[in-house]
Amino acid sequence: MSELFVLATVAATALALAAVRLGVWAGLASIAAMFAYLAVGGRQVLLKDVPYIGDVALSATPDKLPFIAVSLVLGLLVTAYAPRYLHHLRADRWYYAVNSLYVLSFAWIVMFENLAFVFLALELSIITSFLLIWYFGYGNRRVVALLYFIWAQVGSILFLVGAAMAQSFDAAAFKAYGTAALLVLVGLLVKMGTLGVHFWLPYAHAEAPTPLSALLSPVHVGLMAYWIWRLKAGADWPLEALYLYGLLTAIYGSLLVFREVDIKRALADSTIANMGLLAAAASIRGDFGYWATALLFTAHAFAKAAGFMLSGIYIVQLHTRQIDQLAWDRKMLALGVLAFVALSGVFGLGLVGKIYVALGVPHSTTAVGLLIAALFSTALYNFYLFNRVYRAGAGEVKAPGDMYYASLASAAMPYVLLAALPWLLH
Amino acid sequence: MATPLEYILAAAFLASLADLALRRGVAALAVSAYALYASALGGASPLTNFVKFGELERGLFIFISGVYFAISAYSHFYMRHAERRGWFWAWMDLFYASMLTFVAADHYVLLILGWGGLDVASWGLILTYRDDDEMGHVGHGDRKWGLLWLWTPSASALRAILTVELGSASLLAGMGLASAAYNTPYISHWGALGELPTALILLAAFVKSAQLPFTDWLMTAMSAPTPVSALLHSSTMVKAGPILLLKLHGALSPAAASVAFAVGVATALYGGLVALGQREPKVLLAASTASYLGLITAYALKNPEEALWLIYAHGVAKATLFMAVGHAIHEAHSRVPEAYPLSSKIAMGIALLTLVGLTPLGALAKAHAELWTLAFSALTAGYVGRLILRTATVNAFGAMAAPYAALVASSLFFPQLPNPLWAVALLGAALAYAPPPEALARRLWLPWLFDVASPRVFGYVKSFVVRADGLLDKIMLRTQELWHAAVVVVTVADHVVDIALHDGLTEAVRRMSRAVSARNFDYYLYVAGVGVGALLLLVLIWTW
Repeated sequence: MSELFVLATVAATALALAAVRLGVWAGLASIAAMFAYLAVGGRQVLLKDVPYIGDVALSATPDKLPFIAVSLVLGLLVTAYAPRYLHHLRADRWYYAVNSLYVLSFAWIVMFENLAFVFLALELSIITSFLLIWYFGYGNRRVVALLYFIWAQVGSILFLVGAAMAQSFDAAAFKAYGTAALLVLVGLLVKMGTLGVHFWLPYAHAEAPTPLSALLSPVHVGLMAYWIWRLKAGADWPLEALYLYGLLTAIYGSLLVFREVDIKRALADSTIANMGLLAAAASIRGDFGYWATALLFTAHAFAKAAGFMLSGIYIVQLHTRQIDQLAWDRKMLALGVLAFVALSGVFGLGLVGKIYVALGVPHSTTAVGLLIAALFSTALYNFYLFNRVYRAGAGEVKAPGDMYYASLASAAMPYVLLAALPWLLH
Repeated sequence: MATPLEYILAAAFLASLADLALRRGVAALAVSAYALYASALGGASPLTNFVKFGELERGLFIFISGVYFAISAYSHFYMRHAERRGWFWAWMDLFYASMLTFVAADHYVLLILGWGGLDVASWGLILTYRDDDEMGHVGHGDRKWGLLWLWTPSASALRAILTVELGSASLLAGMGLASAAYNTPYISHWGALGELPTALILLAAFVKSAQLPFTDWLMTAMSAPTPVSALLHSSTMVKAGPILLLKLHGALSPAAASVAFAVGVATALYGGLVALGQREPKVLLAASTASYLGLITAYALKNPEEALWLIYAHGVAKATLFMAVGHAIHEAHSRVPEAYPLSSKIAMGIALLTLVGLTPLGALAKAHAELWTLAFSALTAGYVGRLILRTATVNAFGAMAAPYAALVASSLFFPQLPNPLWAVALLGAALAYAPPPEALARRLWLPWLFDVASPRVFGYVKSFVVRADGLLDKIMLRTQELWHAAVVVVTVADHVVDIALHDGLTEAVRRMSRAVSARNFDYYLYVAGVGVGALLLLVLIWTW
């Protein structure tokens, strides 16, 4: 089956490169090619045995499927959403090429079983997103792009060094203690932007071109939670402390939202909060840890992408990101309600994810207090944000159809996926 | 053939989408009618273990579906010309579907999903009116103690969701601990719960049912259209609190029953007194709900049967009261109508009799009640009496009266005779003529806790975190300067070494070489002689 993977990769990459000339359709086809491989491809593929690095294998086992599928579906939705936005930015067609490679890197980050190749996929995602911020970002975009690049490099290099010190790049046989384990964990947390290593995140996610923000914030950082969950069995990590640290991050990130006047920055701060919840979820032992991670990742990814796409519609139509200058009509109100409620985790798939996070709480008053504060604060800021947009007043936005329906599809997914509930209850 | 319960629940959720598109509530009527039929006569049974349908659930299904059917029929008249009808019906159906899910759930994840659906649907419904629509306002706009006494729908919705989410977070934590302790997600399999999960579940129930000090969101939830209030206060949302306690009463300790009793009685007293002081009829009824929810909570763990009949009696009566008051509001286009249609006054009268225990349904609710509850019945007679006795009457009926007339009439068809002793409570109607003190009108200043004290404390915490983060961010950005300084140091050092190696060293070698080549042979001979002598001297010293 390795031929099939190689074929899909070559086709997807070729189509991505063809997007330099052919634009959005080639970009979509590139992502669809990888999606098609996922649908028909093998679950375990051994590519090659590389000296010093070991077996270069990849897999699309059921535990990986939610992460890969969500990344690719969102890649398709955001790419379909992008043309009008890029017209607004006066961006060249090569945006689609880099964007497609960026989306493909998500699939590879999760699919590779060899941590050195996970590192390479991470590098691809960093370089592609760096380029898009550097050329198409807002504000002081080059400084922001560099800031993002350096932090992201620190994260991925620490991850690589830790994995190398563990003396095996094979994820299935991963065993790390002491410094090696710590480096891997810190590397992943830096990439997630959790408390203390979060400073880069509001800059990068807010100043990136919005279609990139709609992938960077929901997917790119969230995928690290998969690797925390996956590697924790073999790593000597203080999981209970990691759970509490995740909750603290959730509270801290939620509080940061209240400082913002810019909707994109507010959504970026919200990502810090959600990465906290994801870190806590990934640290839970047993099956519930997986379900908490996968469900929170999925719900957050769709809801946050919808949030950024909503802000992109405002940027294109009203030329503002200031929360108090926004307006809503019937369509934007519906989109806002779906996105913010899903993001809050008060209802929908996010709530199921939060329920499983709560299952992991240690039996102590402090931990329970932190959990309640984290669950409450991550809901609180969404209604606060929605309320500010709502109070900004009614007004015609005239959301373009292509942008709107892609955003609506993303916002509706955390509710539509509740249809799978009978399979999610354990 | 019995209908699978899961299909009824799925149909209730799908009705939300149908009514969003239709904007008429047709699906609401159809689904509630079918659920009523299936649970009362046609039989409904679960397909999976995720839900259960015992006597408690069956009774609640009939009650909730019956009340929702009546309110849906009423809403067809009340909301006929409203602006956001699709919005209204979608949230109403979600509200109903969530309540049924919560009631039927045996799997705790499903139970919490229903609970969360109630939270978000109540938030959406409170937002039905636009902020500039006076019909959605609560309060009269005066300012007291630094607090503007006016709440718009968006402010009310935010207050409601922020309060109830505290309870929901608590429920998630409590249920998580309980499920982990028994290693099963089915609540009917849980044994006695520990102190911590018990406390968290109690807190969740208190917040949901607006017990002290989490009461004031219920008052400002009156920003919602009247049918919403009728539903929220009668058979959904607030009732979820005591129903949770009923579902878990076997797992909660006697100590929990005492706490629930104390908090419940305190809230009952608070709500009853505050209701006497309200000018807006809907806020008056909201305070009354808090009062009755207090009584139900007080009994939920001590005497579950009494609590259950109180839930039914209060639900029917309160839905009637809201719809009757709403009839007057709708006719007068005012939040404070001066006159009520005769039909609404008759219905309010029967509802009052139910609340004090003088109709067959009311009698069932008072069958196990203790005598001290007479005081709360007297308060009820006082504030409902204010609505009936101190307002004008318009000789009008209209089709809008039919749903609440039918609902309140249902309280007469139960096999129980009232105890005449409870008629003493009607003397409380005299309170309708007593001028209420300012403090009661101001809801004993509880809004100050919500709108001034809590935001201020939150503001301090937020400011601290935001400032600390900003400071650290600045320091991190200053590292750019350190980086630049390091670059300068390295560049200078590199240049110095470069010069030293490539210019300075070659020049020095060249000069030395030139100097060496300029000396004559005698000079080198002399240097060699001195060198050999010194070497010999060193050897002699070393060997000696």
